[in-house]
Amino acid sequence: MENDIDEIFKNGIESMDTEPSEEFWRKAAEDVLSRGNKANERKVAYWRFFAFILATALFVLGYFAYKMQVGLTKVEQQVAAIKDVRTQNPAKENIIVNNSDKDTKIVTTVKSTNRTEINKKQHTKPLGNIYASTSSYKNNSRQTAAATKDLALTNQSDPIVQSHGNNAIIKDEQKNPASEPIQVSATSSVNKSEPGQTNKTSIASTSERGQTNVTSVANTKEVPVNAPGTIQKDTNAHPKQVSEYVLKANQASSKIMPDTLKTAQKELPLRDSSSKFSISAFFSPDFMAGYKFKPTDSWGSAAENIIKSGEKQSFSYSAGTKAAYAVSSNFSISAGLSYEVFSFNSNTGTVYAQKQSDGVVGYYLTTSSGIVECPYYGVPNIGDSLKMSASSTRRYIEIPVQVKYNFVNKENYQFYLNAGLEVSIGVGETTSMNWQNFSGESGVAVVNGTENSRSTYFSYYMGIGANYKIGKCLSLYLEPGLHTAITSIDDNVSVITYPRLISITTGLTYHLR
Amino acid sequence: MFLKETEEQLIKGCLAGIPAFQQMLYKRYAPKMLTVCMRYANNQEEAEDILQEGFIIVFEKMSQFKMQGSFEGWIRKVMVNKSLEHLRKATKIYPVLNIDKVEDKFISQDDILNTIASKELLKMIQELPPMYKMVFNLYVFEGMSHKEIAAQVGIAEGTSRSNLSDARTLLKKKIHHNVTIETKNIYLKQSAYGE
Repeated sequence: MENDIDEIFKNGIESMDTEPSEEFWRKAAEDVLSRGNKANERKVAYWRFFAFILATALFVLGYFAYKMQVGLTKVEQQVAAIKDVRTQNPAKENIIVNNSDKDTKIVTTVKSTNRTEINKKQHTKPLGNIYASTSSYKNNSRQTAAATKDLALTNQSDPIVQSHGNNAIIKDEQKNPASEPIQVSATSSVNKSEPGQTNKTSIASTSERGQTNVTSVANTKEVPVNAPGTIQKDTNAHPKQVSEYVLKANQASSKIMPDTLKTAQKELPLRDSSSKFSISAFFSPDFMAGYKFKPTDSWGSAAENIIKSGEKQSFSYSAGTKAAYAVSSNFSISAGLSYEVFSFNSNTGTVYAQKQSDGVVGYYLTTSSGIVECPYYGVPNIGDSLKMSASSTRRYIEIPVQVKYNFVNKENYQFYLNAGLEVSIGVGETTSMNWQNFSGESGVAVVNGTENSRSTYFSYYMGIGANYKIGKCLSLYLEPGLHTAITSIDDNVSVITYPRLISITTGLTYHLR
Repeated sequence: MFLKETEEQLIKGCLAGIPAFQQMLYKRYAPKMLTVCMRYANNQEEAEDILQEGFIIVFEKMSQFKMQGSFEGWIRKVMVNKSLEHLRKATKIYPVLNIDKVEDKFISQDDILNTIASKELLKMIQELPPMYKMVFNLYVFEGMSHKEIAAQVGIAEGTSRSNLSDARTLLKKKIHHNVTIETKNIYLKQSAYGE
């Protein structure tokens, strides 16, 4: 009998379900809502952090690219100036490069050669390669030398700074104490002559005692520059012996922006001096071009009809930034980050309570990105109905990677094709449902998240655009394009959907210099 | 349009913080778990409070569920623990002594189940003194041994045995009483209709 009693209660109660009260469901809905809000806040905070990190990384990369390009451009300008002078003076040219920032001068002597002019590729090579290019001229007499400026000599006799052949020469007649380093400076000017004539460059010391030019030197010896403008005298030399020191250009001096170069330099075309990097900010209104539907069960076509007939798009947009790198004059690659908001209204009319496969009866709204359950306060029975209208918003962070080809490439404008892949990461979905039951009671239910929507989907992009330069560094572009999903935006529903979006992107591009 | 979530997908959805999945979890398990809680509580209102608190624990500790074994069983364990905790807090438990033995008159299990509804059986358990209720539930429904019950509740093994025995006696009494009344009612109804 004891076991019987146990069995009676076990069999009688074990499989029993007790329907919770409406009060319980109300509390449960509140609990879920607050939990959802917390999760949503966490998610938003996470994405904000991610976007901040990405933006900072892009900014830092952009800054370094900019700095690198500025340095490169200056060297390119020097090279271009050399080319320019060579063109004008085929016999021999001297170019004096002065830097007001670091008080350093570069004396560059270029002998007339029959070498091909420096081409554009050399212009855009990094700093190291420019030096390589310079050294390749060595055998053809291209040399550089440097001396510092505004360091007055302290002795009665000045060493002489002289241009000789390819080098700047410091000539010291040993009148200075041997222990004292020679502080030299050079003020120079470009003496242009008529084409065909030999140029002469005067390089002189700038002591209080005036300037001296020396035209013949012998027994030169090369010495490194230990510090800008400081060379150690040869203490073993005979007092009457003339010591000569050849200054080699050091790397630091060659990086310097020339001021006096302006006189000898033609302004380079914009395209030659601009960077390969550019950054853009863009905005685009987005329009739904339709969905590709893929039914997964017998309910698929019904669900497809509900979406097709009930869903109407409202204002949607995307905005973001991207960075581009010009691989060549016609091709460039870009990557970016944008925030996309897609909104739509669902005019579903009457929604009937349905039993799901797990036995739960509820009101469900079918949308293109999945199913949203209306958290109705009551306990519906199958066949009960609600009048419902809803509005939904899906939000994504999008990462596009694109290749652009200019099929028309003029100085001030380009027409181009742009294509690539995009990853869209869902960062939030909100559905607001207005319902009214048969008793005339009404309410609004807001649900964050959509059942079955996928957190990430991929799409490809194709666009055609026009770019117009509105300044040395800025250009404006307009680019209509089509985004086609290649993976569905939802999963595990009767019909999965692949959206197609049309965007009309307008953007402003800044070309780094 | 049917949702196709498996238990695993449901858990993953809840862990991802998707409200729709959390709602589904409530809907799927609340009715079953409410019965569990009601066996320990005094009434439905109290049981719903326990259930609500239990679900909060379920959401908080869900990441600890290893996807091995029954998820429902895991939730049930959470609810039982929550119920015991509630019972300990709410009631000062004294064992009930001197239970009168009822006449061990044979009534078949089918007769009882035919005449007494599940809800009434549940009510009988709810009306048990707290300690008897606890021991009876743990022994009969959770399948625990007296040793386990003793460790869980904090009583001696012998006390657990005697409490179970007393609980059974009380329940027998209630059943006997209930069946007698029901039988009388049936007899009266049949007499009234001249059957």
